[in-house]
Formats: sequence, C-alpha cells, structure tokens
Amino acid sequence: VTSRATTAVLLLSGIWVAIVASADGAAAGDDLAALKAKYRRPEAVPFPEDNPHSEAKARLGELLFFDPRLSRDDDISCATCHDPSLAWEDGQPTGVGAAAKPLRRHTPSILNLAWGELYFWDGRATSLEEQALGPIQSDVEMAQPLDELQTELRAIPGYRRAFEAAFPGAGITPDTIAKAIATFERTVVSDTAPFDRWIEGDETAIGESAKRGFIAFNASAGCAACHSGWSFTDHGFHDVGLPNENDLGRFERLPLPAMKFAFKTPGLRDIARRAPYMHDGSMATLDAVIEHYARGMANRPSLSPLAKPFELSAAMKTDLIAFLESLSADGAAVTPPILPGDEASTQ
Amino acid sequence: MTLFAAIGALAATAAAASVNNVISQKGKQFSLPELDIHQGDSVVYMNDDVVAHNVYVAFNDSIADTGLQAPGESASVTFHQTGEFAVRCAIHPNMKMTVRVGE
Repeated sequence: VTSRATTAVLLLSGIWVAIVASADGAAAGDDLAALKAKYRRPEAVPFPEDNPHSEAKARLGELLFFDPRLSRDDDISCATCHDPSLAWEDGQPTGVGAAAKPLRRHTPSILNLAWGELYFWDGRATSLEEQALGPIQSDVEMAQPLDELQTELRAIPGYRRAFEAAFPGAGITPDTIAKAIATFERTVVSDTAPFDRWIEGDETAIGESAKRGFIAFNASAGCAACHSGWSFTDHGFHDVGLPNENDLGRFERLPLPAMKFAFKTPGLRDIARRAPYMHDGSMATLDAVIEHYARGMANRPSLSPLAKPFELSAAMKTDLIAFLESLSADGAAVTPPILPGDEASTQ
Repeated sequence: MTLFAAIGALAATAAAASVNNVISQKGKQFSLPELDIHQGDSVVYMNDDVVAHNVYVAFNDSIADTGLQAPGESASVTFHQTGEFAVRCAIHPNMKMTVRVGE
C-alpha cells in the first residue's frame, strides 16, 4: 500500500465510486475490491445444451482445427490464421485467404469464444457451430464445399474412428463437423495472467503503473464501457470512429443507422501479443490505439456515444499500456495434434 | 362466475396489460425474458440504464427500430403481426427477449 494518496472517480454500473489508494482508505479499498470483483475469471466454461462437451468431441475438433485438408487446396487450416503462437491470430493487418489473397478484415482471436453471443466482426453467425462452417465454405477463405469435405474426411480411417467416438452412429456430416470444431474452440480459454493474480489478491503480481492503468481504463479513459468483464468485451457492436469507411461492418447484416461502421468489441486478453489492431488491422501498436481513442476518432452520426475523447498524458498512456500488458498470460505452449493419415499412408 | 369475480378478472387483466407492456432496460438486460401480448398492442421500452441502447424487432417483412435511446429515454414498438418475435438491443446482443403476439 502506498502512502501517497491518489484519487480516481469511477462510473461503475451507474454509481460514482471514489477510489482512494491510501494507507487509511478502508472504504475506498472496498470500492476497489468491488471493481476488481467484476474482473474475476469464471470457474467453468459454458457449453450449450445441444452440444455438450466431451473429451472425444474436443479432441476431434482440435484435429479438424489444425488440419489443412479442410480447405479446397489442402493448404489452409483454421490454425493457419488462428495461430496459437500468435494468441490465435496471424499477426497480419488482415487475414490471407484462398490463393493467398488478402481478406478485408483483421483475423480475430478465438480466445474465450465460449462466452460469445454473435460471431465474426459483423455478428453474422448466431452460434459457434454456425461460425465454424463459415470460413471453411467461404470462397475467399478455405473455399471447401461441405459435400466435398465430407467425402474427403470419410476416406480417412482415423477420422472415421474419431467421429464415431465423438458422435456414435451420427457419421461425418456438416453438423458433426461443426459441433466438433465449436467444442474445441470453446476449450480455447486465455490462460491466467499477472492481472488475474492481482485480482485474486497478489499485490506483487503487477506493477504500480499497471494498477494506475487499470483505474484509468475504468475511469478517465472510459475503455471499460465496452471492454468490460473478465474477458474485456461487452460482446456488443460499436462504431469507434476509424477513418476507414469502406466497410460498413454490422450494418451490412443489420441495416440500422446506429450499426453503420460498427464492429464487435474484441476481448483484450493477451492483447499485447495480438498486433496489429482494430477490425482492419490499421494500427500497429497499442500506443496508436490509445491515441486514436483519446483524440483521433471520426465524429460522425453513428459514432458510439460511449466513444468519448479524453485527456491523455504520456504518463497515463504508459500506465494504460502497462495494464494491457498485464493481461498477457504466462504462455503455456500449445502442441498441435498429430493428424490422421490418409488411406494410403495407413495401409 | 359471480359479478364480483368477473369484475375482479377484468381489473386483473387491465392491470396486467398496463404493467406488463412496459419493459425496462437496466444492467444491459430487459426486465422480462418473454412477454405475451395481443395483436396491435404496443410495448414501451424504457432505458433505465447508464448506457445507450437500441431496441429492434425483426418482423416477417420489416425491422422495427427504436433508434438510439439515451439513458432516461423511452420508445414504443407496436406489434401488428401475430407470432413469436425476438427483441434485441442492436448494440448489446446479449440483451434479448421474446414477445409472443396472439390474436
């Protein structure tokens, strides 16, 4: 506990809360404790009733996720773009699809999708199962018709066995392919980060700069208005004033004025490893992102009322970046699975 | 049914209609997960929250849109079609409820 008193005022759930970081601020400590409680990790991963978890299903989904044979030219797997080495993104401004052609949007991370509501930057899929089949079939992504994919997978003995173990008697169908991939994706949860240890009470887990950054994130910078909760997303759609007006975002799927240039709020777990940033990958650094929100947003009718410019000092920016870096997990290695060989290789 | 019982039933119906057709939006949630109304009824959506919301309903051939609702504002949606309709906040898709419209 520092003896130097610093005060911040937070707007939390409609209640103004004064936080005084001082040796004798018992009431203020309670307020900070209440704020920190909003960021506590959930204890279990939710799975839908119509696709409950099983180990066999998750293992099969992992095989499919890492298998380039899911693409037309057998050269792109889900993991090609959603690379676990890069926090399940690809490190590119925008994704690269079939025939190495660039896509128009940044590859989003698949971290913590089990808690999602709508999927893709524009929310066009209403379930993770629906989402899972989208890029496979998309002409500009993996470009694989599902009937051809079924035929291809049915010819692989290892997949026949894996599907039978995961879905006894159901066979290899678009439904079982989607359910397996979605089940695996739901198991992809961001690992514990220094921030989590601080939330659980270890005051040494993050530095004082990151703690100040957490307060600024919730208060003066207003980031938590959208980047809320333990995974730092409200799962909502907001126009955050990027200058790129070539992509209408959510408006393409839901043509309401407020949805113009609106994109889904990305979670911020492992965000320091996920450059470049924004739905179009137009910002190379967290520094640039913070500058944009502080004083760079395009003022237009659809701009989210939550997107408010704020006073930004160099010290505050340093604190915000320190806080965001504290969201990076310690980085347990992900080992890609051994894929089942085709008929010829297993005879 | 006795006269008093009949009046009581009518009063209960009227009270239910006037109360149940107002939905509050607070804590990024609708106050009810589902609502039964009659064709032609309206539902008033109050924004009792600290952030803006934008209620919409996808009807069979059109979308009803309240537009952006600042905190404290309300907007009404009239249900002209019978059936079951999903009501959502366009900004916060976790906010959803079902309105069943009978004849």
